[in-house]
Amino acid sequence: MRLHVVIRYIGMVLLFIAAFMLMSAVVSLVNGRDSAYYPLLLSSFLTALLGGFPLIFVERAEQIKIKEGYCIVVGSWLVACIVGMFPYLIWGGEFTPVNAWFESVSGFTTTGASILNDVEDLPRGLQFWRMSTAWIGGVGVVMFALVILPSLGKNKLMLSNVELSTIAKDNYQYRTQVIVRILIIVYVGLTLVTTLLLKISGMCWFDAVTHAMSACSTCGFSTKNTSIAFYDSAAIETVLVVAMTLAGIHFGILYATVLGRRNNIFRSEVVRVYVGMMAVIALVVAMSLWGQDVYPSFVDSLRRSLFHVVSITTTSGFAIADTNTWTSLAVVLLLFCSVVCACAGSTAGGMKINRLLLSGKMIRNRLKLQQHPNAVIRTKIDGTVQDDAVLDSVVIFVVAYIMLILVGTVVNTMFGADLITGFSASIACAGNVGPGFGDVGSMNNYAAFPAILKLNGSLLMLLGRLEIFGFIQLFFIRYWR
Amino acid sequence: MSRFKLLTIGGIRKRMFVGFVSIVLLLFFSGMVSLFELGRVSNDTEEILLASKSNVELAGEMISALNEQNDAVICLAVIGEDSLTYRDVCKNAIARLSDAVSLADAKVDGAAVDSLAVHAGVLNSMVMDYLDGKLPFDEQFTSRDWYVDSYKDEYVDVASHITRYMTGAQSTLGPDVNRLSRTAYRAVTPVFISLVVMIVVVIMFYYFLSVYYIRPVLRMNKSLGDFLTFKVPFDATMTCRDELSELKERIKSLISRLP
Repeated sequence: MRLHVVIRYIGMVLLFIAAFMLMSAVVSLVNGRDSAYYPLLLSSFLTALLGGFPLIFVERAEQIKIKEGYCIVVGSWLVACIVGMFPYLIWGGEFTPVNAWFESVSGFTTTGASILNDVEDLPRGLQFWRMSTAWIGGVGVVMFALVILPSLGKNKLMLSNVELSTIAKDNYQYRTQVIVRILIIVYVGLTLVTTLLLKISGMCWFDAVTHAMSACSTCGFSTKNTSIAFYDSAAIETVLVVAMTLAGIHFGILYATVLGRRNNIFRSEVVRVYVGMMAVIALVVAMSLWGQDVYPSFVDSLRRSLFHVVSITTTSGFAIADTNTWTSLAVVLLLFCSVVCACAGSTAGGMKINRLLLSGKMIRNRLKLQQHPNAVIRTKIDGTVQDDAVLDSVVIFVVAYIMLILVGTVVNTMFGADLITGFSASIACAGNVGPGFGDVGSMNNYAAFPAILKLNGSLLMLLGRLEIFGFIQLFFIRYWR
Repeated sequence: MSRFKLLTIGGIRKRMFVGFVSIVLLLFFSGMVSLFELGRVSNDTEEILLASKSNVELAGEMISALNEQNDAVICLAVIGEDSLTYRDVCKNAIARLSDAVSLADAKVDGAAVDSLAVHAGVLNSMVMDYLDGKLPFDEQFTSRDWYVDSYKDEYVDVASHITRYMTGAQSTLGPDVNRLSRTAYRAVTPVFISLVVMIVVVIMFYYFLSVYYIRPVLRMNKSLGDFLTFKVPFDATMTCRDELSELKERIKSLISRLP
């Protein structure tokens, strides 16, 4: 494996990140040169230097091997999280090294969990940087770089193949080189439209841009301490619900819908299950809340339940109510949503509803096979037969994911968290959701967590974002032939 | 000729130059930031120290004036030595106390200073009344009784208010101290991060030097040695198309011309 080639491409990703730091510094400058200006400027310079230095020596490689491509993608994620700490560390405030690492990882993995007790105390430049980390991480650290950077030819194919999960590559019925362009067009387009709609709904420009970035990346970072509850606006909540729902759908399907092609959102089985599941759960939660008099009317209950169900399922994490006061049924259903989450090929994290659907079909087919042992039964999704390798990988991933959550819970409870906090935090971090229950509820944060649990949380976030095996393989790269 | 044409003009030299300049730039930039932040720390520290000194001096002046006034009043009212000297000292002390309290009032805003001003005013007018002979002394109520029953309580009151003023004035420096600690943190952290980045850059520099220059030179050396000793054909893998590749091609060409 050519380490210098890997370093070169990671360097290119760093240059891209440095550009966003510079943009954040410009926001600081426009805001009257607030206290984040120098930290962002210095961080931008340091990141650009780190990223540009390898380019002085290493020439462009004609062909990248799969092992190298893999190291580039995982390495880019890790290095992005490290340099993402720089502005926080230099600014100071609540950002100790552990806190800065947690916030950076939370942003890039689009988890949206925060260690900040007072978000509104942050200067605007730093708030914009927080949202930038989420926006970059939403579609993938490498994906953005692949579009912006000069033509990489076959290497682009290699890197995008590694960045996208296997299950996300379905529904991209295009040449792989076009996939990257589709992702970015849909992503940027959705962000722009959401910004405009939020502005029309009553937010100021800065809040509209930042919340649009956060919603479309399904991160959930907000510029307000009480998240979306601050605005108390049905219009804003409606815009965000729609934006989050769309951001939770496979971008290839969204693209096809816009172009009027056959494989659109109305014909997709996965999207039907996804939307149907959210609608049913929202209704059940609303009835539970209304039945227990948590809210005075059914409409109030439905408004809150729908927002939270969509927010959790899409792994965004925005909040308009304190879910710690909700009924046990609501909590259980929200935990279920935190595990399953949205569609593959979207910006959402979690297990992905595609896997749940496939698992359900596999169980059904297994029962049929027991009844008809000589039958040949194929498992299909959206009319496409899924081969055995895909089905095996789904089962293995589901098992690994559950194990990850359990191990995370054990670690959390070992170091002082109560059961509901430890379990929900483990699910929230592994699924890149953000808020859990208990001490890490929708109106709380992770500030009170001890450092060891924040490190545990950030590890779970990375494992979840890189779909577990992606991260673990890094430690066994030497044995890869 | 095209075979030997340099693919990058001054390739090795340019890379070395840009590499070293990057490290120097990093050092320079982080140094400048640190200098700037340390300058701010220095200014903030000076501001806090001056404010603190001023508070302490004012409080000292007030205590000194109060004690002087008290000594003069004792001589006049208790001991009974009614002389012009003690009267002048008393009037001077009243003026000094009034000036110091006014200065404190102008600098610090708060209930402690306002209360001090009121009590100092009461004490001063009490003493002025005594000096102007406005107090109705007789056999039942002498000047000594006036000192013990009226003046002394007010004197103790004013003294405690001066102490309260000093404590209050010092506590207003709290936010400035917090800001100072923040500035100090910001002076140190960028330098630390820059150092870490520089270490990474230097390690990368060493690695690239090793991959692109040291190892190819060693490979060429070994291959040439093998050719001279064992007549093994000369070949060495180059990592980069620059002057070293060209050198290798030239050596190969030279060897091929040998009989």
